[in-house]
Amino acid sequence: MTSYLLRRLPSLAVVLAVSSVLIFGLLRLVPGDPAVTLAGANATPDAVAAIRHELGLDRPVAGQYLHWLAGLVTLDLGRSHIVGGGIGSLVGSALGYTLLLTASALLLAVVAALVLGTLWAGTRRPWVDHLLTGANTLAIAVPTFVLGVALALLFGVVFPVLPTGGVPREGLLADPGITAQYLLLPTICLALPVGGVLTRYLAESLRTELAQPYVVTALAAGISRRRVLVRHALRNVLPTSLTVLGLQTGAVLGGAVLIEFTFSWPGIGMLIERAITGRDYPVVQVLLMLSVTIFVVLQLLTDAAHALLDPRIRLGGTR
Amino acid sequence: MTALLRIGNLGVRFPGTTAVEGVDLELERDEVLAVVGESGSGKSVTALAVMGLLPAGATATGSVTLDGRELLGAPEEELRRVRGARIALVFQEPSTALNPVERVGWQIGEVLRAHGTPRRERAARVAELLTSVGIPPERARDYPHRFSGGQKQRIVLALALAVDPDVLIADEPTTALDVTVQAEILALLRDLRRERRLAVLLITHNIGVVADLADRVAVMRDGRVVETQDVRGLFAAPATEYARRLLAAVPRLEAHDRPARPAPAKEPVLAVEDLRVDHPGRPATLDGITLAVAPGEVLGLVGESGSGKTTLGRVAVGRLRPASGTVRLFGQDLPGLSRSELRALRRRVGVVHQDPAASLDPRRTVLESITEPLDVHRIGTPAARASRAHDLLDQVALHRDHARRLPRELSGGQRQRVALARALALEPDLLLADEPTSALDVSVQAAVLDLFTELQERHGFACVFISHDLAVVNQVADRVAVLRGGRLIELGTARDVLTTPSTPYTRTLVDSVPVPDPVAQRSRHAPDLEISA
Repeated sequence: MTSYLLRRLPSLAVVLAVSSVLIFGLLRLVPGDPAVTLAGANATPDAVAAIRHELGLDRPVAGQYLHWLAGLVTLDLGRSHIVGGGIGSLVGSALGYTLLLTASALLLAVVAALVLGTLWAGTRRPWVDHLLTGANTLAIAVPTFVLGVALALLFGVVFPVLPTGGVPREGLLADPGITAQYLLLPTICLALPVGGVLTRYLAESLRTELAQPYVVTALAAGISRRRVLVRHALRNVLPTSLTVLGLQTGAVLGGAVLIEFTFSWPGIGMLIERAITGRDYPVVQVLLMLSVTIFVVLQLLTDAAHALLDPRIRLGGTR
Repeated sequence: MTALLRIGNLGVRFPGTTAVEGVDLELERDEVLAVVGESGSGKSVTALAVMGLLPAGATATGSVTLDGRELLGAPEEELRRVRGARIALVFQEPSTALNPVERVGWQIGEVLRAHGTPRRERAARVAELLTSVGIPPERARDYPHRFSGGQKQRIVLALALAVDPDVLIADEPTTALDVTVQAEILALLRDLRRERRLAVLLITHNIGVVADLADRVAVMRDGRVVETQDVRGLFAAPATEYARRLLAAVPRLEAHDRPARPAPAKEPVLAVEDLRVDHPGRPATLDGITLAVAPGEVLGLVGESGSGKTTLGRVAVGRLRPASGTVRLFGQDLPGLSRSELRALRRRVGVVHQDPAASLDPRRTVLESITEPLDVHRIGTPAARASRAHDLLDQVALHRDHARRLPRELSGGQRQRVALARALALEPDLLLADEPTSALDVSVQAAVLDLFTELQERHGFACVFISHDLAVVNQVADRVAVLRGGRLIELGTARDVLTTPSTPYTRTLVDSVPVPDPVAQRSRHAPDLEISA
């Protein structure tokens, strides 16, 4: 198992190195000069040149890249041009909010998929099937920005029971009950499409699995349909479902940008939006690099979990 | 006295079709009733109907009673308590019949759990069950992929018999197994039946297995039972024309006089010398193989799964590079050839695979499939290719109307004829046929083998005929090579190898093939009957 994971490390390092070059290079190609933006509309060329020198933008691109890379490796992320402050602390506080939001959304999506997907695959009542099919299509089809606004209107304006944006003033840890209230709408909004995809995938793979001969063996030996579904078949579809979950986590991270904006949630999404509109290169670079790293780590974790769940991968061909 | 299991006027309908109609069967305690018939005759559907496990959409009518109690239409919970505890089911494919991600001991334990064995007694019972089918009990903690096919079938039997059922329904229990393993499983079934006084409903298309195990035989065709007889009676004097044809289609291992071909004066089509093929980290797949195929000769390549038959075939057409040794195809050294030279050589080799459903592109029509080799090698005009394809369809006894059909609109035998036509499209000098009839019913197999022999005589191509079925090889091959564990055990004329084998292994192989004759087959395992008596 350990050697299986160790073997994957070199390719992960290559992915990170290549994406660091791409991210750095692409941002240099974006039109607009941060020094001009920072200096303001009426600045003299000298002032712009001075700012450019201060930011290190007048050095050769390769040098800038190596300097940035060295900073990344030593976790010295540099300073923000526009937003102000050290990038490390900016990212740190935003990351906490985003992790809480995405983690709770993923948890909700996974629980919903496990319960509803299993029910959907196992039901022999047509109306349950129709109901779940309809709800599922809706969950996948409605775009996040429409749903966010609709939920905010419904629970914040028509029935004013939940806060429609922002975070608790005393901090997330002060009162978990209050935090949960603030978290509820963005979490549902973020979880719904992902949960929909996962549920559909899980139900479909379970149906395929239920047609496998071993299921007939188990049923013919007198094991109940429910037990065969939730204990025998479910175990078999978990590995591939995890792969889908790993991919969908990317969608969650992407979706978080929109959701955070809709619900004024001060996470990475809000930060990246401010950094991009302000042409705050150093912040954008770090945030993109961070999302690539998260993605790579997630894929590694997915593969590890996949191997743990499937003895054929874990134990290999050793006899 | 009423029968233990009685199936009365059973009918099974799927939307649009009737799978089974008016089936009457009775099964007593300590009796083996074989149900034989070809694929699609309704054998397996009957078994599923008895278990109450028909797929959604299928409806069953008539009656199925166990000890006088009606099972058809009984509530699910009542059926669940019958399944496993009174009637158990074992079926064909042992490799998929077990859950791949759970330990085998756990899977047997699940059955015990379902029928109320307390947790603390389960481990001991699992060990006892595994021992009774000849699996060391400490292997309960292994996953299915660590077992061979025969071992898996033993485990499936242990699972099915976990709570001492009275009736065992065995659906093609040995079809996916090698002959020697099949012989072991049949012996095990015989022992289990005797020890437990089991009533066995044995579903099979293998007439040899019927001769070996059955007391009575029901012959099914198109969803109906056409004949039910005592096994000796059926083999001695089948009452219906269909049963007679079914029995006649079974290939036999008897000596078979074919005209001796002249010794190969010309250069062999394929010559392999001291061939070795390795897979890293495993024992050699092939080692020290030396053989040659003369022009116009059919060489049968037999051996059990894992013996290297298919690997040898792949080496012969240059798809796999040997680690050492020489491979000469049409006089040219294969390993030294460039890609384009290899391509040119391959034009002279036709290939037929085991499963025609998998080897034909499901989205190409029959015509497109047959002309594909001509298209690839740019031979003739499109019109000439089409007329050649029609000509080939005639040769494999398919109607020209079949040309426009897709593979799924054909039967298994028809598909294999198309595969044969495609392999012959380039008029090959060598045909590589890898288990070409293994996926077919006996009567279809007989027709395809006859066709093969006829085409071989007409075109005079040489052939490497790979098969695990000795009787099939006996019917078509001039010479036979026996492989075991990657080594060539025996090579000689079909007559010598299959009737008077010179090695103990070949002897075992030949003896393991069940003879389609109940009297002869039973006399072969008479010694173990005496021990038990």
